Amino acid sequence: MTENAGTGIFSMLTGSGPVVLFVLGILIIFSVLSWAIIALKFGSVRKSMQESQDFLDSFFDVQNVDRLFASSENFRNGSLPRVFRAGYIEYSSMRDKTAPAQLRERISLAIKREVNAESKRLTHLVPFLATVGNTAPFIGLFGTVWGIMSSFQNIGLMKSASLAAVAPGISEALIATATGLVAAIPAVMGYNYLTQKIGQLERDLEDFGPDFIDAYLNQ
Amino acid sequence: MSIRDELKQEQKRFTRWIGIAALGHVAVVVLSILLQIYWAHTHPPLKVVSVSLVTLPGAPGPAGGPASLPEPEPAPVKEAPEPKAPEPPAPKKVSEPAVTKKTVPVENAKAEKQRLEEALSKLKQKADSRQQSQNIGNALANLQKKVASQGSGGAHGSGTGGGGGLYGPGGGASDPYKSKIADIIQNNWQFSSQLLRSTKGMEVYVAINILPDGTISQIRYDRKAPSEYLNNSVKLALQKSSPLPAIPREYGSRSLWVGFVFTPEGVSQ
Repeated sequence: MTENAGTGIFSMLTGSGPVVLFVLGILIIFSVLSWAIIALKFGSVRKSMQESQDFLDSFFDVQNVDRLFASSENFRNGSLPRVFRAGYIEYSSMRDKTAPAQLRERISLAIKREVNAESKRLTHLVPFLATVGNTAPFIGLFGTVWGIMSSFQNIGLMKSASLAAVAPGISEALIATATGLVAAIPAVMGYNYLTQKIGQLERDLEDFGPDFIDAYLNQ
Repeated sequence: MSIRDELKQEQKRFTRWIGIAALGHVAVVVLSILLQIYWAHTHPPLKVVSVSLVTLPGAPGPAGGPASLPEPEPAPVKEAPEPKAPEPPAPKKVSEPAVTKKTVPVENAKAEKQRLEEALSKLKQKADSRQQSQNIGNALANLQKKVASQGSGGAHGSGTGGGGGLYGPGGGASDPYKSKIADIIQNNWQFSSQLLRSTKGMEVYVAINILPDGTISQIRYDRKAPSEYLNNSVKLALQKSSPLPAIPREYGSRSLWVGFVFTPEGVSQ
């Protein structure tokens, strides 16, 4: 944190202390992971929603479950086709189909398991976005506080409180807060978007579970 | 496809996305640095002007440049002795009118001294003739005291008169006329020191020009007090006192400048 430190980002980074650099490293890793999760989940959730919608269209069109199961093979990434397939496999595996109560119970259990698995699959890695969104500003703030502490120590050593002595240190320290916000803002936005979409899918899974059971039993 | 295979596939995709995100971050950093360099090239840095917000308005600021620094420094040095020794600078200011005026009291004092000495010699002769040594001795002592008092007044007046001092010695009324007008002004001066926050430095040096008929023709402040109340009260007292008794013949037929020092304690010459 020299007095002659420039105003550029690179010079500010080279002028920062080790703690600030460590904080910046963590925040950059957080940011990279957040963007990777956002990209991954955005693609998978969007595909799942699209395939679920397509499967629902064919579900209302085709009344035969065997044909539905055959068409569900085309929607392997969709959540609703996955649940339907799990229920159909359970239905097919039962030899005694004369006891409807037992049949309904076993199919509903199989559907519930698959809904849980699907929910787990959809929400996988998403909480990390919330963690980044909540902690990154504070981690950045920690770096800033540490940087300001160091800069004040340097001011004491320089025996000068002029703007030229104070400003570079503070500006170097503030880069940590800025990085924290850069990491946190997309993470929070991505988290909100993904939780909203995943919530929609989960509601669809819960709504259409009984419909699937009725379709098997009315076969 | 089993769940394990699905997880592996998802991990692979995640790893790929991490790589893409890392590359994206590197690209953003490189772009920002390049943009900064480009910006620095297209927009050269502006000239920095340092402005000190701490320096007092009267003191030389950085804008004044270092060359102007030595100039104002002597000014406070000159001003500093004035409050410490209030009396010497005042006579200097009124040197020109005072020199001409002060010669009159000095000459008068000398003339009076001569007269007194003559009277003394006459008295001595009378005493010798009448041989009333005791009474003569008392009279001589009284006369000597009188002469001595007048002589010291004249000496002091001439001393300060060298600088043109209008303001005589603080104590004692050396001149009967001046003492008389000082009494008149003092009586007309309406002033209460309780209305002042501090009496420190509360001195008003005033020179008045008295016409032969006693009218105050001019009032000149040689030094004002920090309190306007005191300054105004002095002015009012002088205006109220005018006209003063006519100037005695001994002072000549011209107008007379007389100096007074007004302090919360009273008026002195």
